[in-house]
Amino acid sequence: MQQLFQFLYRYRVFFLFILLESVSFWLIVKNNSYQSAAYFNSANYYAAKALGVSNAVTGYLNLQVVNADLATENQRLHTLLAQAQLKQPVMRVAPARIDSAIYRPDSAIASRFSFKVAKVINNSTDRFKNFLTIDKGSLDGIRPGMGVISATGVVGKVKACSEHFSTVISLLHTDMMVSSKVKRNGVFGTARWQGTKPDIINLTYVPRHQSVNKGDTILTSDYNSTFTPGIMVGTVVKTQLKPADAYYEIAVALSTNFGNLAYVYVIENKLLDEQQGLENISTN
Amino acid sequence: MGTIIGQFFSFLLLMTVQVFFVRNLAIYEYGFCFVYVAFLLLLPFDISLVLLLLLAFAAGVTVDVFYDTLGIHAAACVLIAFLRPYVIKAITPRGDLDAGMRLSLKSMGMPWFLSYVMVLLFIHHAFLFLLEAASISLLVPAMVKAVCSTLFTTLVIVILQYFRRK
Repeated sequence: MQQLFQFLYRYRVFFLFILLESVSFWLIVKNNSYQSAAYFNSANYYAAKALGVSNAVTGYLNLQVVNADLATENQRLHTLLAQAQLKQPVMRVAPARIDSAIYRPDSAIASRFSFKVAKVINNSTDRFKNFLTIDKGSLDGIRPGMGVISATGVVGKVKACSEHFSTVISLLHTDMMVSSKVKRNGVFGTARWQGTKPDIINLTYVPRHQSVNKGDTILTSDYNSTFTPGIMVGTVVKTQLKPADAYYEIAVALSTNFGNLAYVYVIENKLLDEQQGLENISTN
Repeated sequence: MGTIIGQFFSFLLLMTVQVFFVRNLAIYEYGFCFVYVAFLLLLPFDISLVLLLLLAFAAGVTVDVFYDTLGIHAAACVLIAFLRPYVIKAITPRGDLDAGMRLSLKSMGMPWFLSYVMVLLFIHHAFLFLLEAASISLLVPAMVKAVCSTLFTTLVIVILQYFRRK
């Protein structure tokens, strides 16, 4: 027994090294799991407060661009509102006929998405796995798994929440996938970042018999429970189809500039639990 | 006692610089600055290895919290803390190290200091980027990042050496 202790003591540095490396790897694996608690990341109260102060100083630097983005978005929303108001009287003319002739979603379905505004206090674009920190947390109703968009397009998905802050998996994260479609013809694909250029994302799993052209607009698809359908992802800049491949290789220029994100909207899908519960039942 | 307080302040200073100033600093998306590693590199060479490993783990976890990369910096820091004595032994002529000697540019000279810093920084960065990439397809970009970041961080650490007191 004493020899054992002597042995352990003599090689204590090596054993401590092995122990600390094991702990580190355990942390990496645990942190990579899709949803996690918010103690040891930037949603941690003190870390987030410090990042918030730092952001308050540097946030002024790109205020002009942010204002321009918000103004453009306001303009777009005003246009949509005007269109919606124009359509309203038509619906009132013969509701009975429309009810039977056209599919109209249930009001709970139609209003299942709600939005919350949050400020980005920490952001990165040049790592392989990028995250954002936003200044809204579980007390504001944010939950892991919710989608995050900006005035210009898709941003990411909430990973962890503390009371006042949340970390968000950026679209610029090599494990993040977003179900998308081509606006022109509704072809489906999965948007996934390849890990190198922060302004380009790939659209994968578009089969070769479909058509995708340079300049096509890519939006979030209707098969999405995280994002509202039709949120902008980007524009196709390059398509390639090798003779032996089953799928296209498509490069999409992101519509959102992740370098100067300032305000984002967190999407809550009120029927998400119901939908996922149902889907779990049917797959099991 | 004075040196312990001094080390503590240099830790705080380097962490502040790392987290608030150079965290999102990147040269062409490839050159990163991990200046906080200097804290581990510049600790006295006769520091207890157990203490060195624990300090490395603490420094790594602190940076991880702000980078949202829990465990990755910790693993890389613990690795170089473990390898540090071997690297020092390998690049130092026999009998050249006196007890209590400081591992600084001034006392060790430029060739020694550069090779010491660059070897350990490269190990740290390569391990870090490979762990972060976690896939073979990103091997090349990860290594390019490691090389660029090693050069960048070495430059910053050498410049900082000229600002030390004494």
